[in-house]
Amino acid sequence: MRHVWSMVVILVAAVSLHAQQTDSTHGVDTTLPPNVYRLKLFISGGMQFTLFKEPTTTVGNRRSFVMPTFNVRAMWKPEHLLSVGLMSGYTKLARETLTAQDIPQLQGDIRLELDAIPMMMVFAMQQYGVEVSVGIGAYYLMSSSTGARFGDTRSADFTLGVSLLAGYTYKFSDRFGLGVEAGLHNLSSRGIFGIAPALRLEYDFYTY
Amino acid sequence: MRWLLPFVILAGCVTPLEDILDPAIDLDDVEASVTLLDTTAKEDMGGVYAVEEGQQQFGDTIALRWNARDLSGFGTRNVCFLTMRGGTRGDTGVIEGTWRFTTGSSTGIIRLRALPDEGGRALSSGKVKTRDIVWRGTWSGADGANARPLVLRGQRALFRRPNGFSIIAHRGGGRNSERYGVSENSLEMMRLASRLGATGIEIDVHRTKDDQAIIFHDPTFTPRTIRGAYVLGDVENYTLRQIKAVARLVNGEQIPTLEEALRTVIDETPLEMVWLDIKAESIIDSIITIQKRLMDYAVQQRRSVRIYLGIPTTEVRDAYVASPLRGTVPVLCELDANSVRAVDAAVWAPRFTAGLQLDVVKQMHREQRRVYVWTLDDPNFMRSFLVDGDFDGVLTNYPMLLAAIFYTRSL
Repeated sequence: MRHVWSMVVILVAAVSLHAQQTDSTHGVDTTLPPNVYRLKLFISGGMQFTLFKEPTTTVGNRRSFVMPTFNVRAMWKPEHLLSVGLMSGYTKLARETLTAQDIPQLQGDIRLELDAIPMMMVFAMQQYGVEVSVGIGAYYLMSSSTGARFGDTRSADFTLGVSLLAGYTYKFSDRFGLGVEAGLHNLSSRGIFGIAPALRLEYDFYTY
Repeated sequence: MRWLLPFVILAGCVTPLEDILDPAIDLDDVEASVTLLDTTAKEDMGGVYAVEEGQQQFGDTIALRWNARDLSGFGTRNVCFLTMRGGTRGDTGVIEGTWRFTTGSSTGIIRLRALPDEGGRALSSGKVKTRDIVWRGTWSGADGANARPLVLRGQRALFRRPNGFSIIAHRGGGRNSERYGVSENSLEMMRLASRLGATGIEIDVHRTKDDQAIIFHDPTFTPRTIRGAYVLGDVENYTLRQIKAVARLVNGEQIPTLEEALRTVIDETPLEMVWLDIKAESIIDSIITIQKRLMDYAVQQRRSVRIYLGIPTTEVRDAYVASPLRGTVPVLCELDANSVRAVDAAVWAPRFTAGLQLDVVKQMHREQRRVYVWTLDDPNFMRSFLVDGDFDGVLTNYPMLLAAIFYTRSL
């Protein structure tokens, strides 16, 4: 994990340094007049590879899952490299079924699921369609267990998390763009790490 | 963007704690290789020992005290504790075991002998006094390498308080942060508590969704206390059956019920006192019922164990006062003196931050109530409260430190 975060540090430092060295005309959308502000919406969807530091249950060895994910970001982009916004979405982090073979007390199957809803503030830098974002905030984790002999349980809790997203968007119209993005998500206090390649839609929904 | 760097660096720079190695010694093997001492010899052998060699490691004094099968040693340096077994081989005393610094991850092996003319013969004859014994041997790392000399010379008997004194370990024996290899509020921790110097324990009682009493401190399941990705949120969202099936404490143990915990204390430990810290006043009747049943069980087993229903808040106090089972079990009250009298508590347990409160403590003693103070972890406060105060017990996260300070007091 340290190596991953070292790479993240280097990447962020590189983008930061490049941004500082850039003069005021670089990276600015020169098709628009100065003092133009935009509100953008990003919708991304794909699959997330989630890795758990510890096995997800005390009876099994399972530590990784590939599950669907999507996120939505609303960003405010002034006439500057930096934009800021909010991100949310939904990711299914894990899903598995335990049987009586796994846990004798069960006497039947129990289905376990873990979902996450990010609630983050996002800071992004973009230039020539390439965007790098860092999200800091919370994840709302929801767990459920369902079993005929056990009854159902729903429970939830918040946990802190950090996300790093990098993507490229091709603008095929004034308002719309289509692209790809890769996300890294770290819920370090829970020992959960995710890598999520996705397709994304960019929509400039308001300009002023 | 530059200002984001610190956040990113911080997120990646959490240093993992050093692993604590398992010393390469089996206490059962040590016990099997010696002739065991009888109870009187154990009592007489226990005492305050001056550390003649090994002071840099263990400080100036160690208190040795037998707890059933184990010989525990307590020192103030690095909050150290020793866990040993022993007896005699012919006319030589033998004690071997482990040492551990609670402040950190250092641990290792101790091997000591009392030669025939330095107390060994007296030990084997069963007529020994602390001051007659010199233990000579070595201490080493967990793998037994780098053995260095250790000499303990008996000085005097352990300090005792005329009315008795309780060294009460928090959360069943210790917190997860102490990294004893067993989890707080687990049965395994309760079994360990006396080795850590405790004569009593405090355990936390919560309720499940189906109103069962379990031993757990926090109101929610978090990575601090629980292993397993699917177990999170409020404890009261889960039934006992679900908890037993899918929840495990951080070191892999089950979460015990109140009944299991009390039965373990009575059957498997030499502990003399249990303080039930009630976190769920809505099931107070059920808790009192279990408490009564297990107190009767202790009597049947000829075990002298005081079990106190702890009242930490006004909500629990009010629930107790309204209970039809009020007055049927001994109670410990953490609130003010008036509340203590209102519930007719056998024990008053004030916070240490309120000071020595000598007048109030004196009044409590006149009313035939004991007084325990909590939670003392600083050695200077421990000394001050022991010497200048008149408390009957102290709740601490470091029972071995309190034991070292208490037992080595001058007689």
